[in-house]
Amino acid sequence: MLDFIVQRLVQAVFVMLTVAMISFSLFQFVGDPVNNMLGPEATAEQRLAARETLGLNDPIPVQFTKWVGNAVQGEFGQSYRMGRPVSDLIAQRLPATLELVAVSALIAVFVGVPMGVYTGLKRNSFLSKIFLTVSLIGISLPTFLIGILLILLFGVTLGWLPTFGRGGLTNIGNWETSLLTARGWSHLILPAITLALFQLTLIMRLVRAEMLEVLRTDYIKFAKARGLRQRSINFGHALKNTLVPVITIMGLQIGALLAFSIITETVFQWPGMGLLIIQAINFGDIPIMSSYLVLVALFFVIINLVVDLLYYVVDPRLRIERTAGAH
Amino acid sequence: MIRTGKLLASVAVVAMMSFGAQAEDNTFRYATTGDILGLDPHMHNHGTTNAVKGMIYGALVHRKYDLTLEPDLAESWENIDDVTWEFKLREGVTFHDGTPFTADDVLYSYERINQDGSEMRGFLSNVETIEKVDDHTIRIVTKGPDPILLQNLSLFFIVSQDFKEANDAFDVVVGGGTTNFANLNANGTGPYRLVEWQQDNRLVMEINEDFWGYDDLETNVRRAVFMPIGSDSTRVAAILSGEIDMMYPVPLQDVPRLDQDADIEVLQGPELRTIFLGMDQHRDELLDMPGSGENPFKDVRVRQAFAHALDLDAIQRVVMRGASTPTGSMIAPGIVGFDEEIAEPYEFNPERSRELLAEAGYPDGFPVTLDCPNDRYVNDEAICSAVIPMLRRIGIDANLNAQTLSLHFNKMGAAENYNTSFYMLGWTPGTYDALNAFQNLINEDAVWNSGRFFNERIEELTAQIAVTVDEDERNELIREAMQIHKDEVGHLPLHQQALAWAVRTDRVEHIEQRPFNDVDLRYVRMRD
Amino acid sequence: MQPTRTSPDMPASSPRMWRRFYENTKGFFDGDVFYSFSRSPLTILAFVITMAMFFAAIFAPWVAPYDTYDLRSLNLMDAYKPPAWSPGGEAEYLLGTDDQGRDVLSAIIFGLRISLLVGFSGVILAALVGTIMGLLSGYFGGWIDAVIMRIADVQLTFPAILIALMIDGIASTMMSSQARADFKIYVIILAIAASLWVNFARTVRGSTLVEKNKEYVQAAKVIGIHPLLIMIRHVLPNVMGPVLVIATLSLAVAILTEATLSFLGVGVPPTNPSLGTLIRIGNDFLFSGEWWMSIFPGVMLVILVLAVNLLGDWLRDALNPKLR
Repeated sequence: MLDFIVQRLVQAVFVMLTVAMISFSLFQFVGDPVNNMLGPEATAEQRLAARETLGLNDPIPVQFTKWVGNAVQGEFGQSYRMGRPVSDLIAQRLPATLELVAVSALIAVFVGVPMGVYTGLKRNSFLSKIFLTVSLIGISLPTFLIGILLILLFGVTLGWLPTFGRGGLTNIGNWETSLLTARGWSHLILPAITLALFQLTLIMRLVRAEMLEVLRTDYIKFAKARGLRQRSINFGHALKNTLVPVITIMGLQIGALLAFSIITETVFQWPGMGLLIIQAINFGDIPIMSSYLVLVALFFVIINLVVDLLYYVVDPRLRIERTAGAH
Repeated sequence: MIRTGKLLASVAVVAMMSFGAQAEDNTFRYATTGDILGLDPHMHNHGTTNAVKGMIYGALVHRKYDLTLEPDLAESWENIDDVTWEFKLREGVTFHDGTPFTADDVLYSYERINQDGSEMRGFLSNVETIEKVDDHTIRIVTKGPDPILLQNLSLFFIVSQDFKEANDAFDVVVGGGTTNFANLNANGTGPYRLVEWQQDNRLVMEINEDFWGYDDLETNVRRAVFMPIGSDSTRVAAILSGEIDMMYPVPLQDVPRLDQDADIEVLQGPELRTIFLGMDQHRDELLDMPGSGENPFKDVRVRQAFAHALDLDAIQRVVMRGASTPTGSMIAPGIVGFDEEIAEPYEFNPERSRELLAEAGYPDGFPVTLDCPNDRYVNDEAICSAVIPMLRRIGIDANLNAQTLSLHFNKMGAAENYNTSFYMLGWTPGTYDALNAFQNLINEDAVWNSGRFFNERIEELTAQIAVTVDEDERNELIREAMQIHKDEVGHLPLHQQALAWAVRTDRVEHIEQRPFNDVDLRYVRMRD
Repeated sequence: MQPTRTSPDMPASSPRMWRRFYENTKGFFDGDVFYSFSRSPLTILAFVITMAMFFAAIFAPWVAPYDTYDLRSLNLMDAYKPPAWSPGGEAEYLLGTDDQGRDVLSAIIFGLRISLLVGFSGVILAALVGTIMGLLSGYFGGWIDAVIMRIADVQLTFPAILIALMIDGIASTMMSSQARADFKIYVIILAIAASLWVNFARTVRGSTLVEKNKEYVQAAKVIGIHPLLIMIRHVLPNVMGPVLVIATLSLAVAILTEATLSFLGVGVPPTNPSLGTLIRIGNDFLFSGEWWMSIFPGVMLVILVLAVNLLGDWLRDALNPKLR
């Protein structure tokens, strides 16, 4: 157990350091911070002085260490364009993105898993075939097109739901949330579905495949032979066994949700980190780009760690093997 | 279980409290294509930005929606002689942070607006000095008799000396991609104070209850949220769903649809902005023709060829869906000095264009890139896209570079040393007088003369226009200068776009549509 | 496919090598695979559609009714024409025209060209780099393997679209606006390749590890033929199958990635619009009822990706003996 966690932690630190290195070199070599701070009219002396105060004359390893030190404290420097600390900008935008991603993930799991179970159990039913066909199309539809179609249908043709930005916001401390009002939810629902659809189809297909596999195993056959009720076999035994891969995939997919939220946010003008990063890319705002990279990496690494640990909790076989090995 | 219940209850209470608070005040939410460029009142000269600054900052005089002037920070004024004006400043006015407003602030603001980087300094270019008489009296001495000084002063925003000095924010920064304290924070004397500005997301203002004219304000808007929404369809969706109360410009293709909605009214009217194309007539070698040592635009025949190649009627009918007036003039009807004959567009005659190009020595054309904004004017990118094939047809190898407004203005402005050969720009003379167009677009040292057109006679005429008080005489001078500019094809005027605002009538009782395409919250009334 | 068929003393003359390569590839398409192909009408349909689009894209200047690159031919007066079958439509413009008077069908065909060009180039580049990396990694092992595989690990944590977006953003920052217009398409190809190479590398590495310890490789070493050469000659044909499957599925991802980048406005420049760009532009006209400008390119994109996905799915199943 312990060395498993340690091994994972070492890996996580390695990933973070690599990403930090990339971000650092981005910051240092692509965007010239002096030029961006002083503008084109600055004199050579001013530039030199600025380099000195910014510590740009230190050896690169020293600079990198300082940079990492600052990053750990949430200091990523100032946005070139907006002139505010990047950490503030991200803090402003983070709640919007996290809420969107969280709701999408829940939709994907709570719709995808039952659909997968159903199609796994009733392989040949009409509904299953429809689910499968739709899922194939769902995988081939680009996120932005799903968004556009939903806007067209629910926003324009039916006029049921708003299609722009966040609404009905309430503040809990510094966290601006749209989850507490009906209005907030009405804004959230279309972007969340758009974002969830791809993951939903993925989870459904995965659960289905796992169900088919598990139902074929001896373990289930024995259960049947023992005369257990079909219901308890399906849900108590079979489903439980499909959970492990689902958790793994979900972990990876939350990362994907974060990445695809860039697209969803653009389509729905959702004021989260995705919009921030797209604008940063358009303007060459390096500090935002590099810190976004670090933040996303951190996010992914944490999720992967959690998934690994969950894996451990859910799959008893892992535990038994390990304890046996320790004796 | 009980604990969860408690938690839920307290969350619900919090939610209801904040929801209630939001419903109470009169919040006006409005949107346009792009964000403001910054809050520094002496930096950018850009319509949307000026409109927001005009609500947060005070000026000596304020221009009302009908273009007449009213006293603002100056209570009264008189001419002591031809060139000397004395202004009595309003007493008891405070800035948003509570510091009192005095003559020193005006002097400091004058010093500040006169920096090299300021795009706003043009408004005071005719001012020789500003002197302090006492704490609430100043004298402005102009370089010559100035008939439009007051018009110019309406865009001379007054900042607090203490505030700027305390924050070391005297300098204005130049160029996009950079910013400073003055650009991010605001402390004015206007009827609205800045609550927050999340760039590209929203700008929130709140009524200033200490505003000197608070009791006489027409508006009942307590809180205003300004949102930049670049995508046309998103802006339409937002007003349809009631997420915003007002937006402009309405994408021309969506006017009928919005008009059908019972709760939405589309306000249309003429705008005073002229959209035009400019050509680099200064460089010896065109940026698009490196190594050639040539700049075809220096030849008037080439410029004429371009003028005759543009099918303004087609642009008006298709791209603008009828909502524009093609023009041959740099100023719109309604601007002092407008002349109908000059406003007659150049004849559309591609045959003639090809002949002119051949005469000028470019029978096979030459390469040129058209720089264009994609979120500033109505259908700006579409207009440029339509211009490209028209130029291709006369043999010009034209290409398009369309980008967001701040990058575009940066590229074609002084910040990047007028890094353009061929560009689109729109201009509303801030003073509603032709002189402003000369001083900002046509004169040798004009801030936005990005193609650096130069004509000696026009320089002389402009100098005269600036100091001529007699109306007829002045108009004649303007006409002569405009005619020269047209004959020389200094620029390629395209059209005046039509204003199209969409307003939710279930929320907004009244809104004044100003002929400059911007909202002044002073003239917005919400339903209670 | 049987390594024992090869005598280790055979000189590495290139005709022979190619011959073996050919035989192996042929063997891979033999019998079973084609049988399963002919049994699946959906797969045949997907194949036909993919091929049709492919050819339409290659021969766009001849297939498309109008040359949308010839800007001189555009006439504003033809703008906003609905599809031929709706009221107001004209037979000359089957799928209608856009806001500039461009024929939508032609724009789609030329857009398809850009989309497929970017997709194919990206995948081929990714396959090339991935295969080489996999070979090196598997053969040399040690620190080379460690470095390459750790890079792959880190990269696998990020979705392809994010990597492409970042590379694109960084490259754009370093380029002037003129260079951006000229070279953007290569940047996109590079970005897509960079986001896809890992899968190839992992697969090839696995195969290489298996082959590396086989006797014939060891024998080759003994008689002085450079083992790497042997590897290339034997491993490469063996991994053709899996590489092909990954390539097909990656193609779908690549096309979607390009479309997404272009939709976000950071992809190929609008002067040569891809399907994604067309959808982005048409999106502004959805509310006003001019739906054909974005829906048709969208449908085309979906059909293309769906067909490629179907092909990939089938290929994976057909080459996987466990599922047969």
